Amino acid sequence: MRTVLANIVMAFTLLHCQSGYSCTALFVTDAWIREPPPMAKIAAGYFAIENRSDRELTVTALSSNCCERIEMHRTILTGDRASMSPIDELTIPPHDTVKFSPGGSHLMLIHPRIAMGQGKLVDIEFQCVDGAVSQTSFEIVTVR
Amino acid sequence: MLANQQNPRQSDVNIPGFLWLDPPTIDSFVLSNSDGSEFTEAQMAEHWTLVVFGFTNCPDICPTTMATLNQLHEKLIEDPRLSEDLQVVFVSVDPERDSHEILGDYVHYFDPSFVGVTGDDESLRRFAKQFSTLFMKVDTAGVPGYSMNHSASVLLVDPALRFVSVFSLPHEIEDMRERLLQIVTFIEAAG
Repeated sequence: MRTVLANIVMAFTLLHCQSGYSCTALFVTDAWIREPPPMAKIAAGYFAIENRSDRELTVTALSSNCCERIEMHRTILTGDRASMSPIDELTIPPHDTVKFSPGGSHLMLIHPRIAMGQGKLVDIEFQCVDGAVSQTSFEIVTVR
Repeated sequence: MLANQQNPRQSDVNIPGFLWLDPPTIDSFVLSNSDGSEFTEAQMAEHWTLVVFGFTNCPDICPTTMATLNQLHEKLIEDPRLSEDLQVVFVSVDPERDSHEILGDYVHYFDPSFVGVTGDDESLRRFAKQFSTLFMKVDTAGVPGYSMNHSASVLLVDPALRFVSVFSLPHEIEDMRERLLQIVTFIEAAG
């Protein structure tokens, strides 16, 4: 009975590990938010995220006090037509870096609650699949 | 490069996106300027006009393109042929959310001289069709409610109201500047 129970616990642990683990192996760099034009209800954020672990890691959600909600999206070009598609989960392969950059994948900061002026820092939390959280400061940059 | 500026022919130029020899002419249209006035073909005649479609709730591609156009505009108006006659027109395909006030604030954030226009759905579709482009409202989950699919190209109309060039992505400022000046030179030589 104890052996069966031990096997069940081990199986659960392995499954848990294989599905991803702590955000502590994720390193976010080049994090910035494009200063939104006045009255804009949505801003875009960009960054590079590196997975320094030997396992695939998955970001499932982002949050911040700066705005009502944050979503991940990618801009898709079909011919000359631009459309956006949501990214439900962001999976970063082991020892790889994924970049969010203008014209491609981006954070969508919906309904800002603060004035998003040049130079201000905005803290954004990345939530991983195991519930762990990693926080990164994004600098607001004027690009025009 | 131009082989003969006095008598240019289609074969003389190899400019990507240039629609010569038979560029379509822009027919009459009525849109609404963010200042409340009508925006028609009369406001485009005698100008070189860069047209871009978008909407102010577009967080990525639209502000990226507008920032590019602002930097391109600054370079192009150094050319005496364009200093007085170049305009940038942002066409909002989202009149439901883009009021005149929002639209004006949006375009003037990038450059006070930029023009923001919109219109009712039919007027916008007729205008877009002249550039052989479409736009589409797409429902999305969550707060924004919907998004708009639209052309990401920058379109050039000459002073004779001919749709003469398409600048597709990627938009590299120096490349666009060179192509546009080549087109101006070619068309002025063509008469």
